[in-house]
Amino acid sequence: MKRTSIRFPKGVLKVKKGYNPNSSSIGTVLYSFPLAFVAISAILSLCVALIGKKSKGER
Amino acid sequence: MFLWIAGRSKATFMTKDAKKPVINRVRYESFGGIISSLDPPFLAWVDKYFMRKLGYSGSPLWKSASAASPRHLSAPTEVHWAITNKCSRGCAGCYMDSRPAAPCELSTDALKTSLKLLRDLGVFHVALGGGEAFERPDFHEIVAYCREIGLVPNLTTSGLSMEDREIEICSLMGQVNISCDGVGPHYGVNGRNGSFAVVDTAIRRMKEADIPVGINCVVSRRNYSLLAEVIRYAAGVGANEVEFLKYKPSGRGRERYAENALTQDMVRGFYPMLMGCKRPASLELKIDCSFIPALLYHKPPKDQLEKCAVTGCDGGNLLLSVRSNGIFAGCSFVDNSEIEPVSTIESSWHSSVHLNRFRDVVAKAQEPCRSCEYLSICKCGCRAAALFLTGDFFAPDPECPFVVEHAARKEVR
Repeated sequence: MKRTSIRFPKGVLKVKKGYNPNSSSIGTVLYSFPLAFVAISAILSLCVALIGKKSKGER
Repeated sequence: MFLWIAGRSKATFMTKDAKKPVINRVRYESFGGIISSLDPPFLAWVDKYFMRKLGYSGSPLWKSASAASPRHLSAPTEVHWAITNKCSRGCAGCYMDSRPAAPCELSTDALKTSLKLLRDLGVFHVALGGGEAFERPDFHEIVAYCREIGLVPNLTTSGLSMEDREIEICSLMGQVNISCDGVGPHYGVNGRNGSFAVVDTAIRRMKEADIPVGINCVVSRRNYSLLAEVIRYAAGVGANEVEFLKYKPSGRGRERYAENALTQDMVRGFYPMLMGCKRPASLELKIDCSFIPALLYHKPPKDQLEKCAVTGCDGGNLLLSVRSNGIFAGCSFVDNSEIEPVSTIESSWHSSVHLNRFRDVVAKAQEPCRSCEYLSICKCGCRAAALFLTGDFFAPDPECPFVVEHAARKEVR
């Protein structure tokens, strides 16, 4: 397969989409490699948004 | 340390801003931390810089020398819990060997106590199953308790009973997957008892109730050629995912393993075949950890796999499995001969001999796994398959195409 590197936002190491309802084994989203970045780009931008502003929770 | 982490993981910063995810919990790890989002659902592994930006200033895990390169996480991210082994269906290939009567199950109180322990340890999600979880009369109470303490409950069910009670319980779940190995007359292709029409009605009822619903499809030699039909059906009914699970040599599945196991041609063709199936963007395809060698055979870029959290055998790291009698294991298909109860998990997570066997697999990797570029992702393939087919827990997965090719090369020499 062609190798295309994914550029992640600073500080984000990896992301796992969704829940795993399967009670017997770990599930992995079957991405269409090497274009997996497209599939997770929305989550990555949400991660950036998280530290864009001060969070409001307990410290 | 765990209490302290538990205290921190109470930290929530729910936001009304649609452009920000709804985070429910955050926990420290040696590399930084893990963030759990409810909407949209995801886990993000982040470094110390990111944690500081979120307002998490530090943890003993960041300072300890032994934590510099730990073999495993501070806690599993998800727990698979067969809360009952009771199931009135008696399917021929049941991997849990579930039966209508199931002695020695945990009481409601004992279950709740252990769920709280796991939550305090840092677990984010629990995948509930059985047996048939709906056959526990206290199931609603258990699921509601998960939500109360901040554990996201998810469910695998046969879908063969989906009345008002079940719909109400499902509405508390993050995601529900219904077992379905084939469409129409092919529903029972793997020995599953029940009716496709009933399952179809259950899925449609759940969609009407706006419950995120998907399909779990066990893949064997018998239904390999029917998978595209399952995907078409899932797309048509509005399911959000189909997860393909390799038929395992476990429970009653052992007896018929030779006749159900995929051929090498099937294993090698699995990923391209699924990728060639047309489907809407709203329908995700997933594979379970035992299918990871079938994906890796096509040499996807390793950095993308890592960043998308693609993982092979992660028992004793991401995953902990709990049986209906409360005994934990690294995975649902491998027994814990040490017979350790989940009530001891706070002390045994790091020290369990059974869990450490899973964690030792990479260090003890044999060829061709030892030289494989994907070793850190795949972790030598499925331990249940290796143990069943070779008798050696640490052997390479004999069904991995790389392992089969390696053996063929050795034979030629």
